[in-house]
Amino acid sequence: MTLKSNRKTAKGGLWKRWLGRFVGGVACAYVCALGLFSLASGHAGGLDAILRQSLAIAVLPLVIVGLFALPGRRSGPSVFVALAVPFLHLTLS
Amino acid sequence: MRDILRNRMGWLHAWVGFVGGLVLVVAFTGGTLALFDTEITRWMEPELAALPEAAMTGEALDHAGAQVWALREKGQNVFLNLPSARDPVLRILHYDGHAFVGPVLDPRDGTALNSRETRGGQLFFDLHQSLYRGPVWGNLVTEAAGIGLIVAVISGVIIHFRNLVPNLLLFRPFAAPGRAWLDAHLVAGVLLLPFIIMMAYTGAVIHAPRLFPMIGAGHAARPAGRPDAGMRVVGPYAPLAPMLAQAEDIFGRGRIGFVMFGTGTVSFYRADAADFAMTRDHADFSAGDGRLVGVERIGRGMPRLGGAMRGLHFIRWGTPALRWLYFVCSVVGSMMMAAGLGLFLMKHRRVHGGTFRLALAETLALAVTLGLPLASLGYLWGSRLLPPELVHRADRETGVFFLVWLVALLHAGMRCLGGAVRPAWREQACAIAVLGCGLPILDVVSRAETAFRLRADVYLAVDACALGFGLLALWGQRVIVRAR
Repeated sequence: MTLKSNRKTAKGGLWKRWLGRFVGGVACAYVCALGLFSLASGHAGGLDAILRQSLAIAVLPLVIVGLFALPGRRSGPSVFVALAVPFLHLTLS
Repeated sequence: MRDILRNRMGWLHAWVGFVGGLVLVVAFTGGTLALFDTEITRWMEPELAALPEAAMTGEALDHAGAQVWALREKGQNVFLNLPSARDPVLRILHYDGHAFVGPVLDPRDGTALNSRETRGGQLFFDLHQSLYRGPVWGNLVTEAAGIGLIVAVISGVIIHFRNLVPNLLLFRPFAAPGRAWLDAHLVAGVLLLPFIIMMAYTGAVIHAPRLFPMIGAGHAARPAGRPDAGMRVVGPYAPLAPMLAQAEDIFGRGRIGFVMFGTGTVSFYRADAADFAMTRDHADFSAGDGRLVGVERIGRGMPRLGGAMRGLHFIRWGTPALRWLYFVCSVVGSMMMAAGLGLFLMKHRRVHGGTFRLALAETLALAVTLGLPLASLGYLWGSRLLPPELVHRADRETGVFFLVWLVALLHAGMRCLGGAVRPAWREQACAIAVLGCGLPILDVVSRAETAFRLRADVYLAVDACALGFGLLALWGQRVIVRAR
């Protein structure tokens, strides 16, 4: 009984961690796609709008799955924010 | 459960697949039917069955042009759709917020045909691209669901990567229900992988400006009824027939799709079916004297990328055989997603059986999987049973669609909350069987007064499809009974 209850608690904890990881991953992927967008259009003779959109849409799901697949039990959603901030800074500068 | 890659991908595939799948089944089913939106519209206008096949005359085009100018002088933002192989009549169309609707004209003389008001197959197009929720929020939700589909496909491939070939060879349709559904989901998913990725990706790129509103190249969708600044113009106007001849010299004979009317100009646009890339090339003429004032062609290379994406997704350039291939792939894709929803529910029924949350999930899954086809058949029945002269008929028809869908949702909710999940699926399958198998009879009866003739046309195709889905539902409900 106790073992079953502990397993259930552990499963619930894992579910919440994965949900947090997924939400953080989606937010980070969106920022990455925006950054890619800005980088591609920032230079003189920047890429065509439709090509930028195509690249951003291609990158978005790959980054979401990639970040979700990253190993690390203790890495919460905060790690994605930490990853995204320098990228955003790079694109804005 | 351990925190390993396979389990993590399993969680991602299951939850993104289920939550996104509820939207995706609607979008995919809507898109499947929208492949033949013009043909469905024609089926819903049985009065046109009596019209003899005839090429458009110059007199008809000039007469139609005069009617368009008269409507524009009254402040209506209308345009003229020219006859094509798929739709052999002239149409004066305007966007009503969900579909392009308007009077139908005879291609021989341009006089108005006594056809009933309908949104036709464009309801499914609107359902596919924006869930009938408009070009802002609706587009955004389907766009997010499209990205979710790609995420679900990638995570699904990672889960099954090692067993892709064995899973293909081990299709056991008569095994235990869970195993059979999983096999069907895997086989359809693997075989249709390129098609599903292509449709999800091109669809997402087409509506990308919705996802990135701060950047992007603008969006084609415009709110309904927006007045066109400076639209009111005053005649006299040059006849359209000589302009069409000049436009056909530029783009090719029979390659003009529609005519837009601006302030002092008339633009002849190349048909979507004319080329692989949907580029909206057009020739502009002066409305007063019919003089050619400019030609706009999208150049080769990068500017055609957007048109190529649209061309791949909408397949308007395709032959009927290619469109049927898309249709079959889309039907199987919709079934694959529906099977995925079923697998999710089977898995969670073991642990969460009897809870409100699971009953809610069962209700929603049933409402999108069987409720939507039921509502679509109800829409076709409504188009023939509602009186042709009814006021706001197109809205009433759409109302029938959503009413049937709501009844299906309520039925699913009551039965699933009462613990009768299997009977709920069987009852809705029976309802589909009745409406589907009965549609050809309704078509024969309701067209008896006009010009019913048994021949290979859009009426026979729609009837045959409805009968096919009806028989499939009949078989499905027998399988549910036997699996008890």
